Amino acid sequence: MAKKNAAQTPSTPASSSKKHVTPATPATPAAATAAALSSAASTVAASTSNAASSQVDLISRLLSSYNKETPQSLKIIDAYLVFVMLTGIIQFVYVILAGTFPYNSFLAGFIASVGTFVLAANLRIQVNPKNTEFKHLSPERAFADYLFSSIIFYAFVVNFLG
Amino acid sequence: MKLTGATFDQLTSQPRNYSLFVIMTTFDPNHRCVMCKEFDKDVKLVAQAFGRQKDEPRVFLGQLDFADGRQVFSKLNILTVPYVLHYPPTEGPRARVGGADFDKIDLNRKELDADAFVHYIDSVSGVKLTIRRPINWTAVGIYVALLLSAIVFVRLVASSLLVVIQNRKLWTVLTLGLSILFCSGHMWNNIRSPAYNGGRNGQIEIFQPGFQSQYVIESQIVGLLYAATAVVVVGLITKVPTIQDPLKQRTAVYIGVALFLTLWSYTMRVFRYKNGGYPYKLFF
Amino acid sequence: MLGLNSSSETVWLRVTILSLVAILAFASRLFSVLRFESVIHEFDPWFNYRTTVELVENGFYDFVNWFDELSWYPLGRVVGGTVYPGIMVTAGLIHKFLTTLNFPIHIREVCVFLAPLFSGFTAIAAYLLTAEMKDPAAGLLAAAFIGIAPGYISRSVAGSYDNEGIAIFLLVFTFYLWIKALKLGSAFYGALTALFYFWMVSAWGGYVFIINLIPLHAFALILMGRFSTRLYVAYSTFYVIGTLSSMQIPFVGFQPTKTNDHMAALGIFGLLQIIAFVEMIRTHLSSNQFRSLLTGLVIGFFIIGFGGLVGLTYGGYIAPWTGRFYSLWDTGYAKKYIPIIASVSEHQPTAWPSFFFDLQLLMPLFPAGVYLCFKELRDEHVFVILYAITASYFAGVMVRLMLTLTPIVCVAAALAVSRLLDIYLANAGPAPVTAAPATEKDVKSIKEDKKKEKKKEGRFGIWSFDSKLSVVLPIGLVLTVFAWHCTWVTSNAYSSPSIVLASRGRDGSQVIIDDFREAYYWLRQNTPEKAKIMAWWDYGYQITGMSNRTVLVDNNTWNNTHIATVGKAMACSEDVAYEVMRKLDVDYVLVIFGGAIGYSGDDINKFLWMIRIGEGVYPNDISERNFFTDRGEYRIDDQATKTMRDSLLYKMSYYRFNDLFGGKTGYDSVRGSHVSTKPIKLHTIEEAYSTENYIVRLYQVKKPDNIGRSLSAASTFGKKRKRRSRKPASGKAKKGRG
Repeated sequence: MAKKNAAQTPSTPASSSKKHVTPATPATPAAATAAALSSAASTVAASTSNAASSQVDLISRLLSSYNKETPQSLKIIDAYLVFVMLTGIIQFVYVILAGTFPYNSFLAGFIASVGTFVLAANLRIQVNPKNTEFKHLSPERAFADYLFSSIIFYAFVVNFLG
Repeated sequence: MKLTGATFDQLTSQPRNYSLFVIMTTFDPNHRCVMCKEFDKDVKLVAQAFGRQKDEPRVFLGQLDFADGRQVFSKLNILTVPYVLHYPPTEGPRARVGGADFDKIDLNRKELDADAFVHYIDSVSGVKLTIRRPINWTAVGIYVALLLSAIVFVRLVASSLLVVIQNRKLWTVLTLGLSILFCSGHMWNNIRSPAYNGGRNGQIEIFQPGFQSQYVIESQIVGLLYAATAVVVVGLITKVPTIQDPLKQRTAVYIGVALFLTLWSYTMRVFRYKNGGYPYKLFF
Repeated sequence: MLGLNSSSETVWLRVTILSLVAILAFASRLFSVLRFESVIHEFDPWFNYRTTVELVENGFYDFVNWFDELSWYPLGRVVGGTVYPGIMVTAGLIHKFLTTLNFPIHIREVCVFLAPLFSGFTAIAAYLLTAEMKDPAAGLLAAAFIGIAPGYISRSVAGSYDNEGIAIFLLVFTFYLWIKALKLGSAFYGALTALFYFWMVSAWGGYVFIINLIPLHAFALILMGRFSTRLYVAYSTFYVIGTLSSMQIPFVGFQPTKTNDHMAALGIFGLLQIIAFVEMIRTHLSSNQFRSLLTGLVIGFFIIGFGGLVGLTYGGYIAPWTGRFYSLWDTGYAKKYIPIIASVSEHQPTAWPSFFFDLQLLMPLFPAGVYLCFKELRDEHVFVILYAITASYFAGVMVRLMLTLTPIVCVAAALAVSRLLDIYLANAGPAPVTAAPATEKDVKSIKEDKKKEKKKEGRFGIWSFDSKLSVVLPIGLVLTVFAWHCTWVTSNAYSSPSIVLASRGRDGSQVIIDDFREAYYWLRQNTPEKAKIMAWWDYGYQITGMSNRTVLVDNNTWNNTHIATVGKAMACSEDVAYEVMRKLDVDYVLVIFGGAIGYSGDDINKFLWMIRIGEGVYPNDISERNFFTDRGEYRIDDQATKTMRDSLLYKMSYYRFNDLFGGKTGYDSVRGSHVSTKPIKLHTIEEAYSTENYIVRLYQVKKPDNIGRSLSAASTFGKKRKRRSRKPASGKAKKGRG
């Protein structure tokens, strides 16, 4: 959608600038229309620049909102999630480069990354005060669940590593 | 290649260093062999594959019509058509020593389509043929047209389609209907293709008197019985308690209960007919 | 009642009723133990029993690495990698637990009573599941239904030591834990679901149903717009732990990453991640533009994922749906390409009497219950609906899968009956329907208010006592008949051990037919330890289990060529069969023959399948048409074709059969015709043993002749020859003509 706007706008600035060049008769309506046209041109120009930079704007808005609104504890968990995702990506790239032998070790390691990510994400969701569905679950209980599922999970990982 | 009686004898005489497959068939309209016509289509596909053999051909395909080679038919005591004979080579690396001079496949007993025929040729002679089916342009055209019209249709009615899909009643009816259909033996009908109903001496038999088999009409009746019973029960649960007038409600309850008992007794009666030793009955 | 307040009274009542239901479930499966004895039934359980004995005697590591030399001679069988170890490990653990408590119990008793024990647990699991759907009252009904429903009893009687015995318990309990996890959004229950799923994977191949139904449920919820963080937490925890744990079972191995059966779960997992991420970003930004862009992203991911899956399948990286499961969709597939699967009687489609036989009253109540689910349509009710429709389809396609349909039918029927009884057992009169909240009414126009005043306020309930009675009594009657029906079915149809038969003698007294065990024990005591037995694959497990001898083929049916070789030996003439038997080192041959006593499950009735399977691999040696007369009939008397009368199986079945009838022509009571009048002569095998009712007949394969004659010549040595037209006979035999 942003691209469409960008495609349409180049035509109008040229036409509006042409009108600007035509001799501005001192008659007020003409001046008014000229002024209106120029303001329209400027807003359109502004919107093109907006469209082009709206993606960047969106992301910057996202980041600023994220920084403001999330409490410290959740940010820690988010940092952990990013780290785990990186380890998963590294393993996957390694397997593509170096082959899948032994397959069970790769699977164990990769699923360990995915699983850790998922379990930590669960913890984040349950601890997030903005989520209304988990009012009955205290953060301590959420953490206990996290520990329980992690222990079971890692037991299987260790067994599968071979 | 088309064979006659004489060429057949010539080609099947020993020694041979090639494999020969002969199709015994007949196109005489008096004999009315439907299977020969069906098989002929597959034979044509396989014959084209034969023609595409690379290097020196080691296998040959011949076709012998009944009209041309009557003596051959009687000599080999072939009574049914179509029939496939395979004459393996008698010298060379794939010679067969001992045993019969030729193998035969009776197509009335065993199904043989083009793929299976090629598979058989490969298994006995080791020569792999590939079948290339010509692209059916009409079918392709029809599919493309259907796809385009479907896309256009969906774009046009997108919003109302969404409303229809989200209608709960539609899903209810669909799910319950399918459920009852499956539970009344619909898949059995699909797989075994039974008769719609049986008949003896002009009297129509609705229920087949066996435990493991059923007629189509039988499964439909049973499905309807189940559906009716379920509807009565649902009515007793959802509709009857909302009736405000006590007298009307009482009559509704009695009618509902009577219907339920009648339907259920009849279902049990039908089952007793199918399974002789069943000792329980409800009312009739 | 007992001086307790009403809530704890209810709890005690529930506990008591549930325990009684569990005990009832256990007790109603004990018919065969009471009638005969505690013995393992059928065929497959014998193999499971043998492996459990191996586990108990030699420990877990030997069990997992066990190579079985007694079956599939000369190939052997790698048991560790081709078996679902769940049931053996469960039985082994129970046995170990009991012996540590100093209860000296034989492993056979544990095996025999394992299935009824777990059926009691299944009743409890069904109670828990239905309580989540509606309330504990419905749960009690569901427990009662599943305790006695014949559909479940058929595979869980005492003595039926088979995978399904514990698998159904695990299925229902896993589903209960999943619903609980979904309702609470709890990682704890998600992990528990994964643990029980792991146990289920170790127990039965039907776990594929779970790993496809739960993703289907998640997908349906997403499509209905009911994505929630609870769903995310529950499903992700379950999927990650469950998949990893399922790969621990050697038989499953890497299948979850390599076959299409498991790809649906992976796809839904990925979809959930994307949607959760999108939702999280959306909370920070609320712009419609962004939302539609992200919806496009989700749909794009879906299409790419699906396309990638199809591409990988065609490229061979991911296996397509394998034979057994594919035959559930394409119903003609098995008959053409895998005739062994098509020949098993449990794999036939289901006609309606089988549904009625197994479920009776629950059958019409089942749609009523599903309809009630549609009315409420919480997240868990969507699950019931999906389970119902998929299970009905599969049960229609294969008789054996009636087992997976039974739990949901019990649950849905319990919902319907419970709702009915709620209304018609209510003590109070009709209650007013709760009106719309006052705020909305104020907003509405005056016209609507007037309309509302005209109508009497809506009430929901039953007015008169006699109408309540007139519903409750018939329901009670119909439920009672249902209970009678279940007991009758269990007693008559599902309690025969099939290794011991019973019939009525002429004076009405019960006659026990124990021929099978007689023959197997004869083999055990009278043949050398390394003897090889050739029999049709049906009896393989029983022979190895009871006589501890090597067999050529057994019920695992993994090697079609080997089975076809045995079929060839059975169907060809004695000399050809002798060649085959010598190549395979066969010492004894075993046939089942029911003609003397009327047992219709014998080998002559299965002969056509032997011929077909043999013909599939050896088309030059066997031709099915040769066994039918000119008119296409399958006969065993004088008009049988020469191929039929020369075949090894025919000869072995009817050898000296005429002697039973004192010189007159024998009458085969199963086929209903007389047999061939010519006495049968065998020259390559000799009769070793025939059981009391001639059901099992054992023959010993003769060693090759010392002097090198052909065996047919050796057998006619010294006997008078009838004058026949001179044929060029095999030279050496002429010496002995008397």
